[in-house]
Amino acid sequence: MGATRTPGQELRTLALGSCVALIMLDPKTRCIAMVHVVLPESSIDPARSLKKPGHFADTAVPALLEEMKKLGSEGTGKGMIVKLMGGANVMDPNNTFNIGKRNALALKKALWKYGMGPRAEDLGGRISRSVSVDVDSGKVKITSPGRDGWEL
Amino acid sequence: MAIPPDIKDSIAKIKPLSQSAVRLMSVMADPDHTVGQIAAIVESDPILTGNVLRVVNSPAFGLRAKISTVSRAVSYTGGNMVVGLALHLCASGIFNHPLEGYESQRGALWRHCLLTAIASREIARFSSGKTDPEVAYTGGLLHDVGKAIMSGSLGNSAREIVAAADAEKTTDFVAGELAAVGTDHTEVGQAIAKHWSLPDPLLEVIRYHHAPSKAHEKYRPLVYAVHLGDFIAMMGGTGTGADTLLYNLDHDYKKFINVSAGELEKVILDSGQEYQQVVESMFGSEEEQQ
Repeated sequence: MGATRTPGQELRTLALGSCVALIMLDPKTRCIAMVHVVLPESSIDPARSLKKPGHFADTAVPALLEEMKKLGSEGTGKGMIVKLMGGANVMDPNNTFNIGKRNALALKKALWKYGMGPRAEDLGGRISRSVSVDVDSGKVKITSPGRDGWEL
Repeated sequence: MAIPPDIKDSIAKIKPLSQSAVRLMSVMADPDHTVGQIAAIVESDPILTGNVLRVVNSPAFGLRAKISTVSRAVSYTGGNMVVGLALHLCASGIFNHPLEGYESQRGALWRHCLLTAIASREIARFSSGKTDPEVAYTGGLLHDVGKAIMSGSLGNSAREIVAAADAEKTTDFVAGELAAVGTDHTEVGQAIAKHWSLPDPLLEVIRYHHAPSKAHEKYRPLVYAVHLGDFIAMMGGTGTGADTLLYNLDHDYKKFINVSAGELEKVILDSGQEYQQVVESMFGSEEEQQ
């Protein structure tokens, strides 16, 4: 989990697999923030969610807003541009290994609580994505081995 | 399908495993093995001894007092870690082979195998048949050895296979390998395992980890455990490159591994934590991924 508004800086996360990267951009302060979410619900391990709130969708959203607040954002979610990437999905009729899909849903649910929703998303498929976003352009770049990169 | 002659030649040139690695795997395959048996093998191998002591005294283990005897070291690290170290030492040419054919980096194969090993061992605990978690671990460590050789033969085919799989024109990366090279990493891996004289359960894991229903009935729960462990590693982003996640989950796993969504999430968290600790103790601290 990280946030920055320093010109020239970028945030990146490697090989998301079924994890989802949540990116928030604050047009007012030009602050960018990103968190790498591993699992949908913190109830599975509350102790760990205290140490690493970014690991779980439900605790990641307030934690990321808090990070941005430290850099001058309002911290309410108002006016934020939200993007979601990752969540590669494994097809499983038993609803067990489809964690990518459950992560994306849980994040959207957590965002709705703050009246937020993704402006853009690149989710699912059998693709492990690496993601970066930079302060200057706010553009999200996605790469995955064996494929040409793309932007969001 | 038969393995092309040039690949057969490459396999024949692979160095044999060390005596200690072979003996450790055979001791670990016995569910009643003791720390003493493992320590005795380690003590007979000075290089392995040095590595076991280095790892147990690394900051990742966080022990206050320095450990200087092998038996105490083994009781802290566990036998799994010792097998991993022994294999990494004697087959580093295989595990650290840069997987250019998979558009991957040096070390990616080892990392993927390590996380698969840990996850397979944890998932094996939910097996309905008799599956020894320790054998699942060793199976996980070795399941993808074939990629070290396949990488060279794939050349630039990975991009085409990925494009075909993304467009759903090919079922999975194994089918793509077969079409491009005439064999796949599971068949090549099995040949390497035979070259190393590995025992049958490991041969079955390596050959059928993408088609667990085809494994010998006796070993099917074990092979399913590694099949799932492999998926857990790839879902965690620790794959071996272009092929990551381009495989099919065998939906019949429920017949062999009875794991709920919540239990799987616990396995993911615990495996990830142990993986970080082992990587740090072997290679030093790394920048943690958020």
